[in-house]
Amino acid sequence: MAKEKTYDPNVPEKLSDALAVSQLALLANFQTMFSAFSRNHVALDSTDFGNHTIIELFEQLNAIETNVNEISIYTKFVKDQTEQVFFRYPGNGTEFQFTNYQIYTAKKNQFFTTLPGGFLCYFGSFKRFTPSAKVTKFNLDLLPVALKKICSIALCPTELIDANIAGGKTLNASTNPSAYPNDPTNGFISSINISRKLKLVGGNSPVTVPACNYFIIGKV
Amino acid sequence: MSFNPNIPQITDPLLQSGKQIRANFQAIAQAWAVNHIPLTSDPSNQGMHTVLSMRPLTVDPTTSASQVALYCKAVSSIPQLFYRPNSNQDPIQMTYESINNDGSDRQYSFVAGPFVIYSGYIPNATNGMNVILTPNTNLIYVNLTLTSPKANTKNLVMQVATPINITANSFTISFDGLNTPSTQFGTYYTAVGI
Repeated sequence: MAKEKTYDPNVPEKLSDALAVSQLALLANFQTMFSAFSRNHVALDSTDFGNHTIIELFEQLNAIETNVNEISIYTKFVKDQTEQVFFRYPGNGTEFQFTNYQIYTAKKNQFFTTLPGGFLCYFGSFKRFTPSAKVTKFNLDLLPVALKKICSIALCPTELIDANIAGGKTLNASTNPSAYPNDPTNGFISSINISRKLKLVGGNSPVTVPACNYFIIGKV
Repeated sequence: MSFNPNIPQITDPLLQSGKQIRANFQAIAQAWAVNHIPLTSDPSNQGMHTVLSMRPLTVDPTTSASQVALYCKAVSSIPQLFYRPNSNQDPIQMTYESINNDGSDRQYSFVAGPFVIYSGYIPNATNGMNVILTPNTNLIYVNLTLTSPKANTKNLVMQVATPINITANSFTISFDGLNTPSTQFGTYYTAVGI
């Protein structure tokens, strides 16, 4: 493959030159254009010329300006991540991060995806948890550990379990577990505490947590 | 400076054509520098992009069997990003007109469709509380999860929060199994609107 050349917009340099003199410079510019156009675009000598094949976006340092009737898509570096795609609304409107994070291997039965704006969604299922005298809490790990704030938690039990409690009474099976985020470690929330407690006068009684589906949205 | 596709003319003297050719080369360099790595920069990066600035199309582009299209089209006069699968399948709107990721208790984002995804926390939700979500959409899914429910000491039925009266962008929180109707609970909500 021929070595790629740099385009020179100021040729022919001397208008008085004969064509034989300018020809090499003209040819070099045409070849450079052809070569450049062949990257990210269908080649100029193809029947589909004018279309793109791929969009490779170079990192930008600042938000790109947009006209009132225009949107912009570009990439910027995001701390603790890598270059990510950004979107800016018309008229120099709000800029937001369109893509998020890298894809990691999730735990079995736990998946995650991203939402525009720097949100992560974790979803999946967990099995029944029966508390013991030593282990009364069930911590649902959130991988990757990236959240700085939990926006919402949705739990949906997939089984009905009556819970025996003190005094020979039974907690109704329709009881849903409760959930709240554990304290952050190094600024990141790594797990959710899930429990099913009967709060009565005289103390809390942890009872079996039914198997659940969950959907958690957080902000990185 | 604008590009002239009709030079050089066969009958033009070289002195005239040379000027025109140079003007065209300069016009190409200027045009290429918009959205692309300039032609005059490092040759190994030529052809790549710096940004995609997209102006709205008035009609959806056609796509062949081996082609997809990303483009911009106005929805209610606001430009949005669209994706059209191959073979002229139905276009999909990829963006929504706004987003709220300010770190407050009530935020929203979106997924392709577009569907607006609401997520938030109401620290002191009460039975019968009416919740209005912004932006205004038609809610098609609402889930409520309590952070720390309590049981009714009489019938041992645990507190459950149910979204009722879902209308447009609002719903009402209903607490079942209440011991005392005035009790307040921390409540997470997840909702989807269209």
